[in-house]
Amino acid sequence: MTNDYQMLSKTAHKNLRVCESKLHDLQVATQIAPVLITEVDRLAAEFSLFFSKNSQTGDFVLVALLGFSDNENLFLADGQWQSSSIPLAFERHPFLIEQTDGSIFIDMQSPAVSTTEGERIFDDTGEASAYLQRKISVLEAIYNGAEPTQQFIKLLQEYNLLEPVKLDITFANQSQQSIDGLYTIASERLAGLAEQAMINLHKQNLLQPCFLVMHSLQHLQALIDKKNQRL
Amino acid sequence: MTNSKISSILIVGGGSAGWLTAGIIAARHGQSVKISLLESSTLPTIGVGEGTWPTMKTTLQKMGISETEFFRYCDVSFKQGAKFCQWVTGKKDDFYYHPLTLPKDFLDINLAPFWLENPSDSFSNSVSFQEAICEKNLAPKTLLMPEYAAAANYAYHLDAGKLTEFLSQHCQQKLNVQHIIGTVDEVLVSEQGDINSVKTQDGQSYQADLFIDCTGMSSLLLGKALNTEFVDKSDVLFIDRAIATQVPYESEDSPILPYTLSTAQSAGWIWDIGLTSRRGTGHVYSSRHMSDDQALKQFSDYLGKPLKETTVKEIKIPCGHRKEFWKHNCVAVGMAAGFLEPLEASALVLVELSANYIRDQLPENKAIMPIIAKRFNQLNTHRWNSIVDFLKLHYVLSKRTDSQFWCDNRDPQTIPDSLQELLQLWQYQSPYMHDFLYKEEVFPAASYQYVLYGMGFDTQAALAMSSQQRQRYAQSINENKQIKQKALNSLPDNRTLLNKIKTFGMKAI
Repeated sequence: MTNDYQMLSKTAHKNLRVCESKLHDLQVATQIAPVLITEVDRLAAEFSLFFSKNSQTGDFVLVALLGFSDNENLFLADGQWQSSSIPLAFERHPFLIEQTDGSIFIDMQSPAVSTTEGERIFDDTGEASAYLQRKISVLEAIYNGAEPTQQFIKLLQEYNLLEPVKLDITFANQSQQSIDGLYTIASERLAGLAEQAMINLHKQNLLQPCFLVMHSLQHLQALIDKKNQRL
Repeated sequence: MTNSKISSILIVGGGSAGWLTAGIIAARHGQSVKISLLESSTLPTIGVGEGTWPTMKTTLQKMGISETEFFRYCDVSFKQGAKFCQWVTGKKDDFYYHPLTLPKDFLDINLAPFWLENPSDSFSNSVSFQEAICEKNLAPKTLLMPEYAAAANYAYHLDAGKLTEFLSQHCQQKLNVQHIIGTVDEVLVSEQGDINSVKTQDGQSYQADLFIDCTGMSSLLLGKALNTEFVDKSDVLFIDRAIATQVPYESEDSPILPYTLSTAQSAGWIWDIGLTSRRGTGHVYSSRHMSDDQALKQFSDYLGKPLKETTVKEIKIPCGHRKEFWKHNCVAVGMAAGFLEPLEASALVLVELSANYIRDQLPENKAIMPIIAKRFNQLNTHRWNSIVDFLKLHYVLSKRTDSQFWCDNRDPQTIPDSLQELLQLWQYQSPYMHDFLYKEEVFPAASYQYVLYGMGFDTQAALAMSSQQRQRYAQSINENKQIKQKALNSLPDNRTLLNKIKTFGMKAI
């Protein structure tokens, strides 16, 4: 799918509408979703969180695991989310926030964007509609969460607290699958962390996210069950 | 002879042999043994040996080196094997691969006898997926794989001068190696034959319990001071001269070949090694079979441009090795021990193997040193002979008749008995684990298979094979096909990945 992100303009885009129900194609086709540290509290209650590497840069990112193969999102059924909350990365579409200066873009190639269908993004006076304001608050949350997330990951690497996990799964129909490329917090190394480092994590409120990420692995079984139900 | 502890080591010479040896030993003993390296500020290092073996991965990792930093500093690129062109018939389309990945399931099953019955595709293409990815200029891994991890086994192409600087910094900053600048003036030897000390031109004198001679071809300690005989092998391997030059890439996105390219000429061969910054090329030849002018002409033809003698570096290759490698309290590593043509990049791997041995077997005291020296000498004599045999094999199997060089190479008088015996054996059975007596052979049985069957050697395997065995063979060949397809689809272009390593780096995990 190609994108055509244009900087959002009151004049050029004043007649545009967004039909959210047409966004789901984007969401179905993904096995992992990026997660911000500000979302960990909320998402660790339902999703298994890991770290994985960005395919373009190799840098670590915090992610939620949604499925077991390339285009599988087991949290969606008939286009509807089956979870009580969803990662902000999905809510932002069809918009994008530029991480350097906070400018907002809209994807003109998105099937959800047209002049005929869905919610208006600007009202008659040319001001942001209530719909767009909601979207802007999502984008702002993403903007504000990105830097602390990178700091968190940077610190984890500095303290050597990431370790690879390999998932070897046998599904109900006896088919087997291995998943590589996921990392989690090294619990033993966290327990044995030098005092100063531990205090540092604690003072930056980064200790709790560590434990939540480790704890979130228990949702894996639920995800396997979801998959088994579809076999 | 005393029971006194070995508490100090002096490495003399600071080329890649010296610093690799320092790093390998210091990573283990740096805190308990005083390790110093004496090098001259004036002597240039020879700067050959731009290809390594996959062993270098482990060697660097054990020294605590970040592979990303190594790639960035030394202009490193991936080497997945060697492609030998025009070695068999000399025709334009004549080539075969010696990949670094073992044949599929090599430790469980010997696929060679099965392949020999029905050789529809080339041997290396049938039993390994690496030739296919090399032919497409793909890298042996992805950016997402940790440092030192590989989808296809790899070694390195590197800038040897930069490697020396890089290792020197690492050894001094991280591994507690003391760096001394000085030019050797005199080596003082005791009546018993031990080296007492090394005196430098500035009047300093350096003592040690163990001296490691890394002074290159001059072999100042083992060769000169201890008068150790040189065993000449030029009656077997005729190459005795090299001319080398560096070639820039045509553009910023010219492909970087992920293998060493070796193209046979009328009295030698040309190496072509792609680094990230440039290509390193050279023509090695037999001066008995070709004049220097002819050699330069062929080299120019290969590069497609006229070469001036001034831009070309000339190196004389003294083909052979010292009769003993460890004598009294002196052990030679690198070219001080011997030198052979760089056909299979054996120079640096021999440095690693020797330094590993010294590290693992570092004598507890002086009294047992002669025993360790004796064993080291036995092992190394075997290793050098094996390498000579293996290199000679490339020439013996050639069918080229276009020059006296190739014909002379097949003259039985020039083939060592040990190799003649193996060739006789291999007429009836393919090389496999049993043929090799030592645990750490420089070239494993797989390498012999790749060269033998890549060059069209015929083994008349007469053993009856069960249907289970045939099934097992078919399964391995099929799996190899699948892996090949997967690799072709998922591995990135070599230059693309090397650029990404420069920009983003690889992660340690």
